[in-house]
Amino acid sequence: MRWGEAKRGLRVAVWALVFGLTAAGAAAQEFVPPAAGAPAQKSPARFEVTVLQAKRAPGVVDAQARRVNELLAKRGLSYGTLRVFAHQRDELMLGEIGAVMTPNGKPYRFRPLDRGDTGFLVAIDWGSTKVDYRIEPGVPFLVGGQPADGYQLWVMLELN
Amino acid sequence: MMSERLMRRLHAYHDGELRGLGRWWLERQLARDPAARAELARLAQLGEALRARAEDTPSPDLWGSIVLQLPAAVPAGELERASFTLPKWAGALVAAGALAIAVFMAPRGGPEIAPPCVPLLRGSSVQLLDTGRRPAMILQDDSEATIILLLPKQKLGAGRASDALG
Repeated sequence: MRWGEAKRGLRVAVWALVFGLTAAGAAAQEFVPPAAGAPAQKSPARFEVTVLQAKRAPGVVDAQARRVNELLAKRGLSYGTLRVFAHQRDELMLGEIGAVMTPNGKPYRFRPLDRGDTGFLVAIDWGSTKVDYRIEPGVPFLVGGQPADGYQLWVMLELN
Repeated sequence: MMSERLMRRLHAYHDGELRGLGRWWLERQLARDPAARAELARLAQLGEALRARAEDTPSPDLWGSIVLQLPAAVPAGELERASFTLPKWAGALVAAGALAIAVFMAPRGGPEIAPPCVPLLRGSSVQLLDTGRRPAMILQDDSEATIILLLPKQKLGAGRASDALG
């Protein structure tokens, strides 16, 4: 065998080895099991959204609104009346948009943008208010306080 | 007696300035003319004498006088400005370029919800908060809940969240 042919053969073998190792590395990364507690890659985000009407005057506090009432009361916002205007559950994939209509005629829209270790980065759009928020399971996100029809509006978004 | 033309050519030959046909012609002349050879020798001696004279002359030390004319110290800011100075229009050009890139790279026809932006509130769950011109307060942002209160404009500066209650 000539030296030139041997050199060519050696070069091919080296390249094959490099390709093989690269492919093996990529395959190994693909099959790394997800960490415990991390949401599965393809599973949707399960949201629960509640629209509430609040008033300082004494009245009825709906059973579904009691938790919200407690949270707001801790921050000095004590309402005598707290009623659930709308409540819905949405399962959204990344990029999908969920929406609920609020009493002031403006839809409250939310869209999971990115998946974290335990939660999601969500873009929220409600009238002129825009929020990007990292939502975690069990940590409610409340926004509101603006008046509409004699009430104050609140919207609670939760990740289940 | 040598002609003026021959003298000029001898000087040029001595100084190494004569090339090509003129050089060939002068070398033929030197081979035939002893006076021309003598004149060339004289020029060579004169040149050596001048070089010897120049070596004997001490070179003046100018550093002392230069140092005296230099400013005592150049401020660091001036030094930086002097080393890197851009024309005034360069900043405007860069800004216009960045704006053009932003306009052309911006997504069109996408969903109406704002895309993620540069994090404004570091270390917080709230990555971006834009309420238009409405004042807002983040009442709570911890592992229990996140609460954002949207205030009416006349309530700005009221100081207490409960003041926003109707």
